[in-house]
Amino acid sequence: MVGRARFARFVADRLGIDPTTAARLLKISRATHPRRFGVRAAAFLVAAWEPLGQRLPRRLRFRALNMLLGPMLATPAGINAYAAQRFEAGLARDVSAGPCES
Amino acid sequence: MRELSGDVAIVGSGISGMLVARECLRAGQEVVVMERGGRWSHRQQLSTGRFEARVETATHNHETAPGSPKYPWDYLYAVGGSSLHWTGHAPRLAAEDLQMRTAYGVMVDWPIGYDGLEPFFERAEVALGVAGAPAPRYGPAVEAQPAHPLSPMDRLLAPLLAPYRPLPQARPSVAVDERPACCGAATCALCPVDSRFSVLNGLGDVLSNRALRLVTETVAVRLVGGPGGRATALEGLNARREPVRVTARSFVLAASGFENPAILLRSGLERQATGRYLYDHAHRTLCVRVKRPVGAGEGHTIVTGCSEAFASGAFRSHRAGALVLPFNPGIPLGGVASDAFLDGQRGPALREHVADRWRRTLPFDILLDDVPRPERRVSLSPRRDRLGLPLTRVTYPPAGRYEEEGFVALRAELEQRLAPLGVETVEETPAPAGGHLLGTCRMGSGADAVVDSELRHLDVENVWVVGGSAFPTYSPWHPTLTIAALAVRAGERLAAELE
Repeated sequence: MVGRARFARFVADRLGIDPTTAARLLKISRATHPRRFGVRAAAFLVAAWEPLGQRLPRRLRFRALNMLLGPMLATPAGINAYAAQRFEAGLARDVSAGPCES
Repeated sequence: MRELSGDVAIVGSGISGMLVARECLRAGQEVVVMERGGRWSHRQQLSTGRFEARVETATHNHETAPGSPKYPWDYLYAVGGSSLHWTGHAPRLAAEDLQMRTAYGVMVDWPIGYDGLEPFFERAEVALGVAGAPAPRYGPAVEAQPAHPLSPMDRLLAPLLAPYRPLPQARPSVAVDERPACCGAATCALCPVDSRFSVLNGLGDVLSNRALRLVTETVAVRLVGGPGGRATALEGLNARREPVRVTARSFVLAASGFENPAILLRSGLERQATGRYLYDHAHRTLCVRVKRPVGAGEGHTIVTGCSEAFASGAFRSHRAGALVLPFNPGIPLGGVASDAFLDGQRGPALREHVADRWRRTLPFDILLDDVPRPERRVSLSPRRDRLGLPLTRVTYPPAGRYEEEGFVALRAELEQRLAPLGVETVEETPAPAGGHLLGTCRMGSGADAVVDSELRHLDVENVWVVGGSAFPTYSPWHPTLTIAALAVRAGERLAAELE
């Protein structure tokens, strides 16, 4: 059984991010898609663990990787965190377009 | 048996049901609302990530008809109905959408024109707090709701995809009543600050009105008739399988494109068109990769602008019109990352590859219309749900040529128009369901209709059917504001009639 911190380090290593960011992404994934998170994490682990994962047919390996990465990087929060390395609540406000009053 | 009575009995507590209720309450009438879902506050939604309470009566009760492809229907049974997970996009339908026969020689005209609906559009926009509506007049506290500003992605696209405008949204740009201004969190279906309109935050005064009795977790089973072709009572069944009976002078079905026809069918009020011409707004997604950054991840909401370049024109005589909506958060990245991993990329190189794709890819949500088809329908199944009621059987053949050719033509022209950005690839990716259950009790006057222009049932004068089920044709534009406008209009007529 791989602990949460170890799994986050594993994901971080494969995806090129620091473990804190990986842990945040996993938390987003767990929160937005709580069902079968353990199964999705295990599938990713098998597919991304080398050389074990390399034995899988490409299509099956893609599915296993995407079981975790798909939901994790589908929400705006996940996209922002991974691609833009930004952890604010959501989109970057474009000040030049004029502020929204509140 | 639990017995209740009022002037008006309404089935469903979504946007249309509550707007009808508001008009009746303002006229001093007593209203009973029967809702099969439970109460589930915004706070509960946030803490659980779920939009509806887990109660037995809220179990979804449709099945796919044998031989029909499965379809991911998206709706809620809850106090507030599908307003609880609405994205809040609230443009008006265009005038030509209501006159497809006159304008383009196809489909049918609505029995009401744009001019007749315009004052009700304005009232609906105020009721829902729509930012960027054409003529909003909110009153002294909030004079106007300016549109959310166009995002960097919009500003890049506007000259290429003209006409291009801000998208009206039921998400205030200026705080109104108890609702704060939109915070731009990009989690718009479940708004973290409760800015986006829902029945709970926008029509709470209706729900809490002393002249309104809300009966939750109770399924409307059937309408019962009396002499003279009038309905006299609404019969329901609660979670404990106890009968509930509501007597009233008038009855309003406001329970979605599935439930409205199902109640009519269970009541023996079947017309040729009842349950037919079902439509879910067609969503398609195109991802266009270009040579330059597109401004992904910036904007005030997930969608701030829309292109009308493909929504109108003589082509609608033979193919679908479409609305093109750029998605400000950018493309989903799971597939890109998985592919890059399989191609041998790891670590920082993988992340940079994925981020580069994200920076240079335009995601478009594309909404199309289609020709209404009688074979797309809901009917009653021989199978029963837990309460012993027939399941709603859904027959929904795939898109026809009209929609498909509209999409093919749009895709080709979109690629041409975006050529100045250096188009590298255009890819269609899976899109979510529209979540708009239209048709099934369409407006009109002949055998192909169920309700008249005021949304009154053609055979039973004191039964009204409101919501998207009354649409005789569809539109590229989002339907909710028009649903709300029709409900305000029907509510006003009903209230006047009862006075």
